[in-house]
Amino acid sequence: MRALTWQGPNKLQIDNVPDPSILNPRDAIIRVTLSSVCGSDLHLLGGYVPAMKPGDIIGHEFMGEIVEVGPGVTGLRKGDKVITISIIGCGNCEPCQRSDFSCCDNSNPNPSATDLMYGQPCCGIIGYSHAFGGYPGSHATYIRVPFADVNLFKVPEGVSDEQAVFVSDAAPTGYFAADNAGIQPGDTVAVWGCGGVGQMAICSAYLLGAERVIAIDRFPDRLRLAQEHGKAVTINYEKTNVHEALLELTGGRGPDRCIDCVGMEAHGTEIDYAYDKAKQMLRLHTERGTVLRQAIRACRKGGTVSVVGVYGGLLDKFPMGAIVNKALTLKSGQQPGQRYAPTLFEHIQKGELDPSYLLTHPMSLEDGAQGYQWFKEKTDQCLRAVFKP
Amino acid sequence: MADDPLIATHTHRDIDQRGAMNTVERALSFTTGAALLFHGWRTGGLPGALEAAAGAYGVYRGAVGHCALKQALTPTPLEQQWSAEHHWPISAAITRSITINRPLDDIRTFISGPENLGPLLRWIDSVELIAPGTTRWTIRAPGGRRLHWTLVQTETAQTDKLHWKTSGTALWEHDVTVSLTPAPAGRGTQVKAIVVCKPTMGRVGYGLARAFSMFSDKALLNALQALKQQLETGEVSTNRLRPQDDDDFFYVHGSTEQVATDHATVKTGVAIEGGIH
Repeated sequence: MRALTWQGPNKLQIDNVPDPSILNPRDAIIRVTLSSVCGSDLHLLGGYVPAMKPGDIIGHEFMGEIVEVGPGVTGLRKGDKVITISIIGCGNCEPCQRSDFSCCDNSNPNPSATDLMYGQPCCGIIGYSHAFGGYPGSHATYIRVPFADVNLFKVPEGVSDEQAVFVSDAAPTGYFAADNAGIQPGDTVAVWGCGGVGQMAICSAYLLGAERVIAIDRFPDRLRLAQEHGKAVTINYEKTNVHEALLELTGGRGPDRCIDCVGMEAHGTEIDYAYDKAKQMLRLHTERGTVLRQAIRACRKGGTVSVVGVYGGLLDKFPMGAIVNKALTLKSGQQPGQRYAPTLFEHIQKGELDPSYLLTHPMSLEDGAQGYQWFKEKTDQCLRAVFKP
Repeated sequence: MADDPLIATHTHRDIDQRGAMNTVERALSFTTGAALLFHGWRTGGLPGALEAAAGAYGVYRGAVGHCALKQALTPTPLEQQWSAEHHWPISAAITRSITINRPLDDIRTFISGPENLGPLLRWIDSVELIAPGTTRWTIRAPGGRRLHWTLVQTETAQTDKLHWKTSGTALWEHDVTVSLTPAPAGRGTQVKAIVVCKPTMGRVGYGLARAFSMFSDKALLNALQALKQQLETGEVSTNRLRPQDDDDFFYVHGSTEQVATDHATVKTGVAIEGGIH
């Protein structure tokens, strides 16, 4: 089959690789029909995730058609059109049974890497480095999905492919961020980052009861989308002091809930950004924490900071004093999309959520490297390049 | 071993820190270091700089009275206790604990037969039952070599503790204890494995065992994770595309050009009735 493979920092190529096959009873083989780029892939591309090997197939947000299921898979059969939750759950361990699928104990075949880095083994993630299991990703003709009975969801009637593909990752990540924020009726929610996940966090915040959402980014086209599709008040941080603007918009209180959809490669205009960038280039630390610092500083006393932007290692100048002295709650995690997929499909069917506007650049898999370049450089207002293998 | 210290405990509270140097050692380190520092300074160049750096470390070590090498070669309190109780000259121990979301009896039954574990572990070629309670293990080693050992299960006073030891012919004797306790709040069973080895060559052997424990600790973690995966989900997770691909135990890809030759080598778990619940 054809597959888009990682060959080194900022180097992708199309390769011929063997087709996958059923290895475990609960596996399924999917013929991939749509596979999207994701902002978190850029951390792999940039070489900021060390456990990548040349030849790794990337991609984790996808949908397709089942071509084969293992003998232990129930409720699914050949020909079903499905989306896959990319953060793999087994459904049997204690975290999965309390719906914390992204804390699964059993889905990572390489437990020792995250055991060393994070203190305990973390879950497996499709196409997301050997630290998270080394699973081949979805930018390929076929993919093997483990624990298919837990991680695959049939696409219901009335949901288009362009909507469904984002229920794999962007939509549940945004929804999880808003859910984790503990939004109460009347709340003002600030969202940093207006990429695919940020757009979905903005829409989800309204679905969960926010009165107003403030979207922060530097790209006018993304801010426009946040305004048009998410009804957000927008702040361009290259033109506006974010902290002052947030206080001005909230009567000096600060946003009730702050959501970081940016993560470890944040950009900024203040001195801490230059400091982070220099240390990151020298590999003295791994994260640029501009957004997280802004969110913690701006959040109202007693509020919640919800983090779904990807962080992988160590962050310098973390404002713990603000968290303690303002009694903030900090919540984070990879998305447990298995918890949210049915709800998200319902919102789409009712017309309350339409993620299809994220798909700005449909492309063939052969143009995968070009798609990532456009996505990374935001060429031609690229919000999401989606490949059709 | 009643009231065992934790393996993670590195020092007795009532004695000096591990690696503490006595007066003679400190004086020797200080004076030798000073001599090297002075000589390196006079020699100059890269060799002189390296000599001076080594000398400076000797002076520092003598001044603070702590030696990292001595610490690395000093057994922990549990290892010292083990050696005393088993009349071993020196012991090196590793441990890992895991919680498995299954009843204690199921786990005891499963691991009472070590031959059940062979199909779960990536680096194990085979586990053969050669006599009641005696199994022969074959593992893959670097360079295409095969290593063998024989494990003999022994009775324990507690039903929730299982014990194995290597047969007397082993070069480095090993002792394996697995303790099972119910996890609080109905979260299944806590499984604690302790592997103790009796290195030859005294402290040098102990140092080698400690260095090798970087790999054996990882192997033990993988083994317990595989056991948990099997008992909780009915299978052991794998990231391979195809059965004939290599396991990437050390994150090394198998060649994607490999040709299927032996499907019998697939090791992704075992079909055990009741494995999935």
